[in-house]
Amino acid sequence: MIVDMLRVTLNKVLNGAKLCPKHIYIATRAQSGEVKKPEKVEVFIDDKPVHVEPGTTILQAAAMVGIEIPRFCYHERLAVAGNCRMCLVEVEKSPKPVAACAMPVMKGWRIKTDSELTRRAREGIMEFLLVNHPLDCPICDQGGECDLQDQSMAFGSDRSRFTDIDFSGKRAVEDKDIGPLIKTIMTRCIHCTRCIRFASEVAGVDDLGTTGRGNDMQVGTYIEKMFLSELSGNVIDLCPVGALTSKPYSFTARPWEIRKVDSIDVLDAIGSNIIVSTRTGEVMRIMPRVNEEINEEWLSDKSRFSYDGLKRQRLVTPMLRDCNGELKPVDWEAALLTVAKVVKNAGPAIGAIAGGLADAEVLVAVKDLLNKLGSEALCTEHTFPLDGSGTDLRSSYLLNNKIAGAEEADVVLLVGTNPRFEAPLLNSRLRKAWIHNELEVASIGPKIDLRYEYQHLGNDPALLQQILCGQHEFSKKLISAKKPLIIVGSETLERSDGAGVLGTVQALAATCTGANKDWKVLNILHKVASQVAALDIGYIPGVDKIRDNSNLKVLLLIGADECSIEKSDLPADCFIIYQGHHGDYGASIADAILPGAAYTEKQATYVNTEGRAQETLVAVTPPGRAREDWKIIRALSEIVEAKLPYDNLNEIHVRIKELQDFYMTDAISRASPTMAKCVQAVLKQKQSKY
Amino acid sequence: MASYFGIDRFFTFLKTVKDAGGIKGALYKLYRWIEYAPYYGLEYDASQVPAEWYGWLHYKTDLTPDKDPSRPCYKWMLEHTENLSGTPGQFMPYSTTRPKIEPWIPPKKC
Amino acid sequence: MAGTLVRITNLTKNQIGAFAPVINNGHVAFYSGPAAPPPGTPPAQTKTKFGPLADEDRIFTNLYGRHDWRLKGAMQRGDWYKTKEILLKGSDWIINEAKVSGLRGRGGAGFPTGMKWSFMNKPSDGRPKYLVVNADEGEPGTCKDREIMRHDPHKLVEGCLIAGRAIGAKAAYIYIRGEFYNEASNMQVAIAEAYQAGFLGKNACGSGYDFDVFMHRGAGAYICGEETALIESIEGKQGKPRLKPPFPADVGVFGCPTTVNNVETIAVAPTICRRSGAWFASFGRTRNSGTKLFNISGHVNRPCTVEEEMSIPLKELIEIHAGGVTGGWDNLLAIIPGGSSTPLIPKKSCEEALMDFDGLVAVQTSLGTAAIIVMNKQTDIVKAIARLIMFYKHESCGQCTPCREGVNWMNKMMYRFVDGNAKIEEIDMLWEISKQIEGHSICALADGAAWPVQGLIRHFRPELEERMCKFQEKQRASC
Repeated sequence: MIVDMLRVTLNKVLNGAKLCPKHIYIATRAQSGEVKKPEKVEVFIDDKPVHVEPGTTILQAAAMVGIEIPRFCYHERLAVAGNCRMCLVEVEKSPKPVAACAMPVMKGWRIKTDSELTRRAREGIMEFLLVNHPLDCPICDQGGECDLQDQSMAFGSDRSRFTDIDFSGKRAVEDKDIGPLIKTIMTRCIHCTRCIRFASEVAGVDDLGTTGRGNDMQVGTYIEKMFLSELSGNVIDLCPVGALTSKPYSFTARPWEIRKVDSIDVLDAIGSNIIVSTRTGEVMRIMPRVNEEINEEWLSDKSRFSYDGLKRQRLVTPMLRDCNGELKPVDWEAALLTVAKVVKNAGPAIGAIAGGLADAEVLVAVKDLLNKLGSEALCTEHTFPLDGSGTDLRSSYLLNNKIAGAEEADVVLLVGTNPRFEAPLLNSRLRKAWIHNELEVASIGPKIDLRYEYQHLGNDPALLQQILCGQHEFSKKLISAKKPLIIVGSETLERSDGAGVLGTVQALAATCTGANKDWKVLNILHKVASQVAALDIGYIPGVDKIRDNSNLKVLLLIGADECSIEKSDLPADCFIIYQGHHGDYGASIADAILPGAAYTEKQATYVNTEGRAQETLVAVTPPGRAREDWKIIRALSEIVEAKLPYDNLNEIHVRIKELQDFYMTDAISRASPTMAKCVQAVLKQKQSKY
Repeated sequence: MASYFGIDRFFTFLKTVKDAGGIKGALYKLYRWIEYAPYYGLEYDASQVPAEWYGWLHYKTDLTPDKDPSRPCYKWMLEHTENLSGTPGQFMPYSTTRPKIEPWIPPKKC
Repeated sequence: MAGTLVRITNLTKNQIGAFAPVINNGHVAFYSGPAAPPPGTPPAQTKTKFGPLADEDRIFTNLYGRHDWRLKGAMQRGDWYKTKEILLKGSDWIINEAKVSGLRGRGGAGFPTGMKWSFMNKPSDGRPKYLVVNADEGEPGTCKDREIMRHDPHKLVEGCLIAGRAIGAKAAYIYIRGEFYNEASNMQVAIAEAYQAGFLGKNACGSGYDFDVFMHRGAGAYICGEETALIESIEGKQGKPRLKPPFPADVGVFGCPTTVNNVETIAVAPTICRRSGAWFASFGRTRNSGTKLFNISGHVNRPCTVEEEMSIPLKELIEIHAGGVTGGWDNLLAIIPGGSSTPLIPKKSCEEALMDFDGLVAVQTSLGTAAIIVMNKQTDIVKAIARLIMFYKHESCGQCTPCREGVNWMNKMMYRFVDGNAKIEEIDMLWEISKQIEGHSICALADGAAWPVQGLIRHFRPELEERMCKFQEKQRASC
C-alpha cells in the first residue's frame, strides 16, 4: 500500500521529518550538526532583500515580498511535485533556471523573477502546455477561472507557432468515468498531478494515478472505478484547468455571471466556511472558503454537492389541514391566525422540538415565545446525557480542543464515532497528524475504514471501563501521551447507556491530562449543526419531556424531521405546527405548516461543534411565500399577544448575546468551564423571580 | 317599432328596427342592434355576440344565420366563445423552463 | 540509461563551486585555481601521446568472455586479491585513492568519484547508508556494463564491497536492466559465490565489516537509469525522477543517504586500490585520467567494445580497434561519440577530437558513456537523428512538461524534416524548441533528447534546407 510507503519511508525513517523536501533537507542538515539554530538567510528577490528561515523555497520567499511566481503543480497543502516547471526562475550564477517551488534558498542568492531568462523559460513551458491543450475554452466550464487561461495571458507568448496543427493536430485522451460528482475531460489535462497528490495525501484514497508514460501519460483511476472519497469534490477546485469539473454544475453557469456570497455550511457540525455562487436567484454551486481553523480550504462532498436539494421538496406556502385531513395551501394571514388561536388556547401546554438545521435566532425566538406563554418544554431532536454536569458546563458538550487542535495530538481515542462521515474535515486533520505527527489512533465502536491505520479496540463500551482501570494495554499509551485526545461521537451518547459512556469518558479524560494544562482531552463530536447553539441557549436534549407530557396541546417542530417523535407519542388532540423549509417527515404529520428559509436564504447564526459561532448570509431569497424563521415566530408572537421584544436582526443578536453571554467573545473563555458556569448562573438569575 | 329576430345560444336577444322613422327612416336602412340577455347584467361586451351573426349585424346580409342555407358548417369549426381576457379563464402561455423550485406536495390521505 | 544525466560538463567552474555547498554542506569546491594542491590531487600531466593501451594495463581482462567468469577464474585473474587488506585500510584511504586516481563517473556525467564518495562521509544520523549500482544500461549504442556483468561479474561484486566500505554503506543494490537476463543470472551466481566464499555478508573477507549485495531487476525503462528514478524504481514506485535537492546523498533509497554509481566506475575501484590511484592517473590527460571501455558501433568494419586509454584520438581508436570506417575514413559522415544523447560531430571534428571529457567538450559534444556511433556517407543522417528522438519520446517518463510535450513535438517535426515537409523557418523554430527543453526539466533525459537535434542543426543545416527545397519543388511540380 502506498499509504504505508508514504508513512514508513518518509516518516519512520526520517524521524518525523515533514513530507516536502524542504523539511527533509532541514532535518538532515540539522542532524548533521552544521546548523544548530536556524538563522535567517538573506536573499534578494528582484534586488529586494528578504530574510527568510533556512529551507524556505524560492516561491515562498518571493511571496513574502509580494511577488507571485506562476505555478500549476505547486499547491501549499500538497507535497511538492515540481513537474509543471512553470515556476522556473533565474538564479544568478546558476546556468539553468531553477524550479522555485522546490528549491530552498541559499544565503545571498539573487533571484530574478522577471529577467529575460525567466520570461523565456515561462514562455517556453506555456507553449508546451498549450501544444496539446484543446482550444475549447468557449465550452469549458473552467473558462473564466482557469489558471491556464490566466497564466497564458500573463506569461505566455502573444502568438502561436504550432505549425504541426496542420499535420498531426493535438493529442486526444479518452475521458474517464469516476463517478457522478466529477466530470473528466482528460484531453485538457496538463498532468500537474495535484488531484493524485490530493487523493493519496489528504483523502487517503490511492485511487488516482498515472498510467503510461511520456506523451501518452494519462491521469486516471487505474481500472475503471469511482473515485470513492468523501472529499472527492476538492479535486475540482484543485485542478488548474478544466480537466476535472463538477458534474452537477456542468454547463449551468459561467463564473462572470454568478454572484458569490460568503456563508457557512450547516450539513455537518463542523461549520465549514463556504462560498455560495448564485445566478438569477438560484444556487448554482457551493465552494469552500479558506478558514485555517475549520476547513482549511477543503469541503466535504455532502456540503458541496447537496445544494440541489435546496430546490426540491420545498415548503413554499403556508398550509393548514382542512376538514378532510388534507394539507391545503393557505395565505400567511389565515395560517398565522389559525395557529395563533390554537397556541393561545393551549396556553402553557405547548412544546417545541428543534431539528438539526435550526439557527440560533429561531431557537432564541421560540424559547422566548414559549417562556412567555409559560412553557419550558423546549427540546432538541438529538439527545445528550443529562447526568453529571449535564449541559450546564459548556465544555461537556463541545469539541473543546478545536478542529485544528487535532493536528497536534499524539494519541487519539475515538469512541463510537466515524469521523470520516460525521466530520470528514476533522478526519482529514487526523490523517494529516497521522502522516506528519506520528499520531496513534484507536477506536471503540464498529470497525470502520478511516483511510489511515488505527487500532480497533472493540465494540464494547465496557472497554472504556477497562481502559480507565488500567486493565487494558491501551490505557498506558493514553496516560503516557503528551497530547491525548478522546473524541466521543454524539450518536453514542444517544444510546441508552450513553450517560454511562459519557461518565466513564469524563473520568478517563480526567486521568490523562497530558503534559499541557491548556490541552483539552475530552471532545464531543456532534452530528448536526444546531445542537451546540440549542444547548447553549438552554434547550433540553432529547424529546422525553414532550413524550411524557400527556396534556400537550400544541407541538412546534422547528425543522425536526428525524422521526424522533411520532403522532402516536402525542395526545390525540395535539396540534402539530411544523416550521421549516423542506417537506419531509415533520411536515407530513403537521396540522399547520409555516414555510421557513434554508441556510442559503437567511442571515443566521450557527454554532459548530467546537462552539464557534458563525453567520450565514443571504445568497438567494426564500422561495415563494417562505420567510426567515425568526420573523415568523416574531409575527406569531404578536398575534398571540406575547410580543417578542426584537424587531430586527441586530436586536435579536443582542438577545442571543444576553443568553450566551461572554463565550462568543474569545476562544479561550468559550472553552473554559468556569466561564460556562458563569453564563449558566447569569441565566438562572435572569429567570428567577427575585 | 322593433322586431325580434333571433336568439343565439348564449341567450342574447338580437333585435332589429323595421321602421324607425325620422332621419333614420330617411336613410332607408333598417337598424339592427343587440339587447343582451339579463343574465349578463352589466358584464356584457361585443365579443359575446357569436361570430355567425356578424354579417347580419353589419348589414352584409339580410339572412340570419339560421336562415342562411349557404353558411358553411364543418365539423372542425369550434363553438364561439367570448373574449376571456382579464378573467380566470384567460389564456396563459405556459413556461417551457424548468421551475427553479419544486414545491413539496403533501401526501394524499387514502 | 547509465546515468548519462546530470552532466556537469556544461557547468562552469564557479557554478560547480556554487552548487557544491548544496550537495556537500560546504565542501571544498574543486578545480578552483592554482593554489597548492590539496591531498588527493592527481599528479600533473606529462604525457603527450595516449594509447594504445598495453595488455598488462588492462583492468577488464575477461572482456570478451574467453576465460572462466566464475569465482575460480576471477581469482586467477587477480580479483579478490588482498581485499581484506584494502578494507582494513579504511574508508579515508580508499576515498583518497579514488581522488588521486582522478576517476570520474563512467555513466556519462563524469562527476569525480572520490568526491562523490566523500559526500557520504558525514557523521551518521542513525540512518543506514546504501550504495546503489546503476546497471540499467539503456543508452543506445552503449554496451560496456553488460560485458562486465556477463564476463567479469566478480570485478563488480568486489567493487561494491570496496566502494561500500568507502562510503560506509550497509548494503549495495545492483539495479540491473530487465532485458539483461543472462547478465543478471551471471551476477546472481557471482554474488552467491562471493557469499559462499565469505567475501560478502557478515564479516566480509574477514575484515569485520558487514556488507550485503542485492540484485534488483528493472523492467526495462530507459528513464530508470537516471539516479533518482532508479531509486524510486527500487522502492517499488513508478520510475520517475525526483526533485533535487534533496540529493541522494541526503535522501536516497528508502529515505537514506545513498550513492549511485555506474557499473564501470565500481568495477574499476578494486584495481585502482590494488595498483594505486597514481597508476590509474598515469593514463590520459589530467582530469580525464584512467582507462575506459569504448563501444564502437555503426558503420565500421569490426564493431567492438574495447578498453583503451583515455584521451586517445578518436580517429586512432576507430582505425586500431574497429578496423576503420566502412568505405574508408573519407566515407565518414559523422560520429556520435558518447551514446545517443550526445550531439553528433562531423568528419572534420572527428579528425582532431580526443576521446576524453574535455576533448569532446572542445568540439561541442560530450564523452557520455563513450559509445561511439559511426555513420558513413550512406546514412540518412536526418532519419537517424529522428529515430533517436523517437526513442526519447517513447522513453520520456511524462512527469514534467518540457520533456513530455517538447520531445513529442520535436519528434513530429523531425519526421517531417526527414521528408523535407516543412518550411525553412521551422529549422530555427526546432532549434529554439530544443533550447526550451534543455535545462528546464527535472532530470537530464530532456537534455539528452535536445542535444542530438542541436547537433544535427549545427552541422547539417544545409542538408535540411536542401531537403525542404526539394520537397517544395516536388509539390509544385505535382500541382
